[in-house]
Amino acid sequence: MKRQFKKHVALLMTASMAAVTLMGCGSTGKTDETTQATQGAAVTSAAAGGSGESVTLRFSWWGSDSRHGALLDVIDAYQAKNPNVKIEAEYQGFDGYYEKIMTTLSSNTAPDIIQLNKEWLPDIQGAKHYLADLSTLPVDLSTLKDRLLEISGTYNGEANIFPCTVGGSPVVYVNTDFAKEFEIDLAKNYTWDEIAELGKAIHEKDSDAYLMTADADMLNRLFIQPYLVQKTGKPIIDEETYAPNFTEADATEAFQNILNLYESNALEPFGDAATFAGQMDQNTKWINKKIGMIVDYTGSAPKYLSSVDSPLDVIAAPVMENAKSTGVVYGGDRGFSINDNSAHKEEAAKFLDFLMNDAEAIKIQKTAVGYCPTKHSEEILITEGAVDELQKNAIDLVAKDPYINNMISGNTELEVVRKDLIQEVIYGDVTPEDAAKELLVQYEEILEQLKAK
Amino acid sequence: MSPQATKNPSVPSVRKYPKNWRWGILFILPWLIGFCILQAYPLIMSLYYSFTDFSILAEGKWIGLDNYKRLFTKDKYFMKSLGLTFKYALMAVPMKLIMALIVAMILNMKLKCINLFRTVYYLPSIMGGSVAISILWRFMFMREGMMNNFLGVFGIPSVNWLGDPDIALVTISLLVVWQFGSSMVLFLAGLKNVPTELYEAAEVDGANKWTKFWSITLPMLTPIVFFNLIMQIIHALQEFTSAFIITSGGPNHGTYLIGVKIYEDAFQNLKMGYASASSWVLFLAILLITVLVFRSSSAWVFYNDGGMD
Repeated sequence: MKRQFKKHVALLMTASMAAVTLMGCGSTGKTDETTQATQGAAVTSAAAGGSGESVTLRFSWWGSDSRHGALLDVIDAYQAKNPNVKIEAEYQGFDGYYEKIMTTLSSNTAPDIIQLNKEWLPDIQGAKHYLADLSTLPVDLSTLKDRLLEISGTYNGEANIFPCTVGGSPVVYVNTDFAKEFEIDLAKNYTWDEIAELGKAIHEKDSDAYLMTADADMLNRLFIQPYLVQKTGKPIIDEETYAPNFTEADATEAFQNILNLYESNALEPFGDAATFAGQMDQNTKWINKKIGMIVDYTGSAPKYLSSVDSPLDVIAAPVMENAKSTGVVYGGDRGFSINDNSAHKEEAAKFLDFLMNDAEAIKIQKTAVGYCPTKHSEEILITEGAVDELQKNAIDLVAKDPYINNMISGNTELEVVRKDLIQEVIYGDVTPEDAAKELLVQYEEILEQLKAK
Repeated sequence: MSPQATKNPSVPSVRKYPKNWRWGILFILPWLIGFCILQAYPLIMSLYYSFTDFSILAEGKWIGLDNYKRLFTKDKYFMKSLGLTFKYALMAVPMKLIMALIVAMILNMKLKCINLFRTVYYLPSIMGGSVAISILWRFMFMREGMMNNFLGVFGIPSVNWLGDPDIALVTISLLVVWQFGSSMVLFLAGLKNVPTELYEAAEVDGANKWTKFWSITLPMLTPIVFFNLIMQIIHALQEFTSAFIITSGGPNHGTYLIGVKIYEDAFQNLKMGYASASSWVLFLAILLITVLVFRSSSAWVFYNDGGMD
């Protein structure tokens, strides 16, 4: 009897324990939300409107220490000029930022000013009118460089993001000491095959050394995607028809190209590089000059510069023979938005205008937040001598002959499929042919759903 | 909740209880409110969401069993990650329990400063689940990390701890083995409760240390083993932090535990409804395993209080 009772109680307890599974993942997010809800409430309780009344704004961004420092300084400068405005900074690294912003938007606890990636616009604005139309607010959009707003900040004809950087991808950062050691010609434009050959020769010379390294995300955005664009001369997905612009044969070739780079040892083994996913500048081989090149965005120049002692150079990304395009994108990949649900949209816009357009703010930020999205910021920073040579060269490279990408081609779900398949190809679970077949099957399904929305 | 509930024949009747039940409710009210808002409500909503295409950002539509169908027919990673999760539990749980028992037995000896040792050995469990430790683990086990350098001293070739999909899962399960503290404390309490006369009697009969452990200590500890086993299985099947921080489910989905998949589906792919469905499948799987372990208990759990048939 006693044991029976014990067992029942215990069973009940364990069942409730197990029930916690269903809330497991949500729990951290939940705490976040509650704290932010409280903050949100505080914002609403603060008197709204007129310039004399005190206003609290929440501003959130992701970045590294240099960006955090710069934005905090800009906030201080703004608060000194506008004593009635208090700006609460909510900042973090990139990991988990997207998830956090999505959750806060949906629960109506999002900050007033939000840094966003332009690729997220369709997810966010396509679901609901979460972001304010910047053209109706007191922020000067006319200062932006040509077409930047159209390419990188507009959704459904509405200006939702003020681009905070101009740049592009891919470019190749080169450790010049490594290049000297292995006698790499940096004046040449390499094809993919030449990169594979070069990598092979280097690894044969020094079995510890590799020409390049990459994680799954980089392989996807900086190898596969440019390769497909070089092949077809078009963005990977057609914006009108929601159909892929590439064929199964094209995709097979793109996967095969990755495989060649691994088989020739031009790329550091995937498993070794995976430990540094998202922070390739921390790769021990790169730091120790055993890796000579990293393909990345123009915006990554500062982090690579600070990761090694050797001087760095930048060269154009590999291109296939008879390419129809360079596969290089140019524009702004991120910027700042204003929450449409904010109680103080006007005040938020005034701050955004200061942040992006005011000469003082530009001098404070230099290029820590982004690379000169406005015409006058470039003039100011060049006279100040604040523009970094490596990054300037990288930008000149991508600005030369880019193609215009569309938003649908940057869809997160499509990227996940590519990333999964790339890894399966690398580990030999599927052949490039089968991966290409599966890629198209999965894309058809996802694109159909996206089109229906 | 009502006073009638106490009339359940299996519970010894406490006559004064009904009179004061309002007070009882009042005392548990803070917990009850927390439970309803933070546990019961999300639980019920997640069941509802699992039948919709709710995406966090946009309201969901009712789509019936589509999410569940997709899990078992179209999603090539669902069964894989469920399988990996079981494999992980199968490695992590026994290793952790054995480790906990060994340490508990050592700490049960009469040593100087034993309380200090007990505290020190409990520390990893407090920190073990944290992000910082996971990051430390990543640096220790990376290709040119501490572990491989250490092996190198003995001339052992370096192991691709985190880069090889088959090894990465083992590396991650090693992390939890280190967090044996809470199980250890329970074992220690259990060890203290083993009547010393049993050992004395065994010594009179000429039993050696091993026989004493095998025939007295272990049987007397089975209720604790049972409890620890169930708790650890439930924990292990929900593991998230280590797989997410150290390897983000990779490489090539080698550590794609179901917890990581649910998180990715919900917050990266914005498919909250679909992720809810996965959670419910996981919930049912855990429930099933728990029931099975309970069923098996009559065969191997020994209750000292005469509960044994």
